[in-house]
Amino acid sequence: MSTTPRPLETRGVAIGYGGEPVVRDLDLAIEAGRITALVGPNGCGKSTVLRALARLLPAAEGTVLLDGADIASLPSKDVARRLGILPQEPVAPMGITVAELVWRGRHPHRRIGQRPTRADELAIAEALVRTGTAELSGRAVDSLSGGQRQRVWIAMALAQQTGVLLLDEPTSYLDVSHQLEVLDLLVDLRDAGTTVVMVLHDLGQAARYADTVVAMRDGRVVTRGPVREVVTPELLRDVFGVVARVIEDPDTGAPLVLVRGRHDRDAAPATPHPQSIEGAHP
Amino acid sequence: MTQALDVDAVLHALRRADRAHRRRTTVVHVALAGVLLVVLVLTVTQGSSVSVPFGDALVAATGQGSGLADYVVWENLAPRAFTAVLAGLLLGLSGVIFQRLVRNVLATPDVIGVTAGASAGGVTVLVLLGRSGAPTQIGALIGASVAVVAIMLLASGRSAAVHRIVLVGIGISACFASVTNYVLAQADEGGTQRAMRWLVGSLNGAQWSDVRLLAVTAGLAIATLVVIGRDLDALRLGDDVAAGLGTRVQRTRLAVLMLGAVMAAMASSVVGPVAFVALVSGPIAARLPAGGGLAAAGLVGAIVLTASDLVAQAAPGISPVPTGAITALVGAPLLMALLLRRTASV
Repeated sequence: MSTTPRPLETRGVAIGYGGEPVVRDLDLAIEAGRITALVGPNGCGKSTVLRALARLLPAAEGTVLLDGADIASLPSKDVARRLGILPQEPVAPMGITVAELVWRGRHPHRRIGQRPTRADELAIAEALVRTGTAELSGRAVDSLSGGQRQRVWIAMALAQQTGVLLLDEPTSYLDVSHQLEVLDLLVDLRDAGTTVVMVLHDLGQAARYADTVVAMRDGRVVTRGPVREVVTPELLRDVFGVVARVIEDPDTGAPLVLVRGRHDRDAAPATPHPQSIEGAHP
Repeated sequence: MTQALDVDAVLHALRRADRAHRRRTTVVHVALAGVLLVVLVLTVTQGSSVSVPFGDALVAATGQGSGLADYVVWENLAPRAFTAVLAGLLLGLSGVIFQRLVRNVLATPDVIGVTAGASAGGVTVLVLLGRSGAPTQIGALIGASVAVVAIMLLASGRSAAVHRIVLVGIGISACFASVTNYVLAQADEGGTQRAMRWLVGSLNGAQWSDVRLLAVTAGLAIATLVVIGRDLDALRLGDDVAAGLGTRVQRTRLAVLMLGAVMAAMASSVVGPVAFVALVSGPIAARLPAGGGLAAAGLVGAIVLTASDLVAQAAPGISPVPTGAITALVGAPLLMALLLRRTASV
């Protein structure tokens, strides 16, 4: 869809749930057509940031810009035609079929009383094909495996035909093959031009699949930038408080994170090198 | 290229499945309408202890009869039957939209305090003001509205609002029950009797004016449902998904709650707080072949109430009893079954 270089931006954003802001001084610029991963320890505010980007939470201060316009001032359906959000572990109503669920993705495109158009039908068919869920379309969502279910939800978000897709922990509670299934699909989407922003708690996955990493701690962005520059032992120490080695994946060249527990420390030279401590671009 | 072909094939498969689903839905709706018609005909022909010949009764049911048939059928049975159909429809619809909104089969107006509010309001007017008819209906509406506002205020939290609605509703239900009991304790004997009859739910004395009132309510409610139905569908996916799809979550939730409350209150104001019709309609409709939408739930509600009223009036041995006694007799075991089955759905 729209390919402005910065489909999503935040300027001086603070976000809270009524009391003290949970996240403050947030200045982000999400690059178009890339996968951005928000990482950080539990409670660092990464999911809160995602919710603010999707307008599920209003910014207490500052503005979130969608295609350059203040997202708070845009009509809800307008936002929903440009930005899709998949929360963590969405629950489908009992008995609803895959096709019915994916049809819900057309909600922002349809008017009251309007019959489905060919554009609607095409969007559904394409979403099913791209996520490999076409053969499941008549099945009940609650009868599917976790990985299939997550792909169906992504199909729903695809049917929404937005240029930006936000996902909160899309791989949690999935076993490893299903995690890969979902992440590979997101890479396909990126290659087709979608801007993907996701919250991941697994830094290893972020390092392998994201183009850009935004690392947060205590409600602030600690560092952000291209994966290969940002994912360093210093990041793991400063953000997650763990000792780790980061080597180049012998097959893909992506950063490979090897965390070291208390009992590993004697075995490997894992002390972080103190140079290059701020890998971030301002 | 191959993907384009795939999309085409999938498109056709989807259309085929959609056509089949629509056929099934039509069959189910026609079948339900047929059952309702049979119950209606039985009510106007067999519903009275005065025997009117079948043919005469049918003629009288169109308003063309004369003499005894006209009196029995047109003045008594027909308005009663149509009141049952419309009140059942309203109760069925209000139940299923609450169940879908809260995503809990127990979250019907009779469980979460809306009907209890209507009862308290109606009984207060009936006993303290000694007025029946329209003032009772207004009292019931006010009571139901107070219940909804209280639920909204007390249950409005940042998260998990959906579960809080049920919990808060049960509490509110208890509060209103105590109001009803207090008012009943203050009543004289005649007042208590009138109030008890209304409270169990009875279609005795239903008139054409009641039918008109319920028909207008049903018309407006269905029009509103057409407008907000798809937003309600989106809400069933959870607040965040719905908001992401461009639904205004709070506004839709309030609209659905108010609509359901008005439907339940209007129906209760005429037929009394009939038990269980709102609760069982959605789950019964969901078990029909086409997976039961709102229309099916409304039709099931109409059938349940009309058939219960027929049994209450005309079943040998037990009749006449208040209609609510029959719906409770059928509904209570169904409620138990729904509670015990893990896959209870709406």
